[in-house]
Amino acid sequence: MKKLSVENFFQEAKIRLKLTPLTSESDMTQRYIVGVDINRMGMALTGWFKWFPFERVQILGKTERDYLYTLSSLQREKILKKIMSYSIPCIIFTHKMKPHPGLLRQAKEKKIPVFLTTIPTTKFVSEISTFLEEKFAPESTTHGTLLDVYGVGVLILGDSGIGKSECALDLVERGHRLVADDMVYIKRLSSQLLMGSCSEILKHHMEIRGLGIINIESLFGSGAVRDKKRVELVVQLEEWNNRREYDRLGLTQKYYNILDVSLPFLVIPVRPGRNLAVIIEVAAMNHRLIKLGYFTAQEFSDRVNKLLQNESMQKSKHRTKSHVLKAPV
Amino acid sequence: MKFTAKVTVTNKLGLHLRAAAELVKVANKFKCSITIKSGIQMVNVKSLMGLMTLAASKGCKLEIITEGEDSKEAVEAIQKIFINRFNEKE
Repeated sequence: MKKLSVENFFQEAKIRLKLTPLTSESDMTQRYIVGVDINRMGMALTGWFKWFPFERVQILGKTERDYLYTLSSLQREKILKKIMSYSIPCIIFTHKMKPHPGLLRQAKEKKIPVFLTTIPTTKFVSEISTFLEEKFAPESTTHGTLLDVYGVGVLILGDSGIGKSECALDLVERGHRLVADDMVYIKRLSSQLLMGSCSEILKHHMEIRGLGIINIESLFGSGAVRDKKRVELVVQLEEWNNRREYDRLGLTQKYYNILDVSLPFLVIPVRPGRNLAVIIEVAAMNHRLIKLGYFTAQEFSDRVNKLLQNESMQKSKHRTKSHVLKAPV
Repeated sequence: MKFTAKVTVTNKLGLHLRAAAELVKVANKFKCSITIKSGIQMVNVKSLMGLMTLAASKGCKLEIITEGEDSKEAVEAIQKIFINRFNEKE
C-alpha cells in the first residue's frame, strides 16, 4: 500500500496549502499518511473514541479549537492525552488559529507533527483532499509514446523496433508536441481522467536508432514538448499481418483499458510506404470529430442505406406503375 | 514459459548509459518479453530509455522476468551480463 511521509507531504504541499510547522521538523520523518481521507477531530474531543479514524490527517477548525477552551484543564489534559496516545500522522489547524498550548505540548511530547494553515476550514478540506487524491491516485507505467496531436493526447503502443519513436519524431516535426517517449507514466486522477507524463530523468529525450539519444526540447524548442497531457486515444502499431483482418469501416469503436478506464483504441498496421504520422494525425482529428458529434463512418453508412432505400422505393413505384398500366388491358 | 532471476548491480558506475545499451543489445536478440523489476517499478529491457528510469546504482537489487518461447536462454544471457559487470573492470 502506498504511503506518504509527513515530511514529503509538507515539502510538496507547504506552498499550495499554506502550511507552517508548529513542531520540530524532525518529528515528520517517522509519520506517514496512508490514505486520501481526512478527519475533523470533533467527536474525539468530546471523548467518543469508537470509530476514531486516527490514521487520517486530523483537521481542527474554529469550532474544535474553541471547544477545547471550554473544558476544565483536568478534562482537557485527559482527553488530549488519550488522543495523542493514538498514532496520528499529523494535526492541522486551519484559519490561522494558534492551537491551545496544552495540545501543542502534548503533541510535542508524543512527536506528533502539528501544522498551521491560513486557509479557512472548508476550503482547506477541499484543497487537501484534492492534493491527497492526486498523490494517492492509481498509477502505472506503459511502454509507449505519448504525444499531443491537435490537442488530443495520443498514446502510441507497439513492440520495440516497430517505429514508435520515429513516428513520434515525424509528428513533432509536423508541429505536434511530445510528452513522453518509451516510458509513459499514467495516473488516474478521476474515474474517467488519465494523465500521462514523463519521467524526470528522461524528460523529452528520445532514442532514435541510428542517431542515438536526442533532446527534443533543445532541437525543436519549448513549443514541441509538454510535461503532461490527458490520454484520450490509444493507437497500436503492429507489423502488417496478411492473415489478420483490419478494420475497414470504423463503424464499431474498440476500447483499450488502462487503470480501469476505457479509451478509444485503433490498431494500425505498419508497412513500408504507409505514412504513419499522417494516419495518426487523421486519427486524432477524427477523434475530435466524433467528440463533436460527427461519426463519419456511421453517417456514410446511413447515406448508403438511404440511397438503397430510395432506389428500392423507386423500383417498387415503377413496378406498381407498370402494373397499373397493364391492369386495364 | 516464465523465468525469473535475481541480480545485483555490482559495477562501480551502476547501470549507466553504455551498460544499459549492452543489455538492450542482448535483449533484442530474443523473441520473448524481458522485464526488469525494481521495487514496484517494471521496465522493458528492450527499451534503453526505460532502463535509464531505473536509476540503478551499485548494490541495487533487481529481478529479471522473461516470458515467451526463448525465455530460458534470455534470462541466462541477461543474468550473465550482470555477473560480468557489463564487461567493465570495476
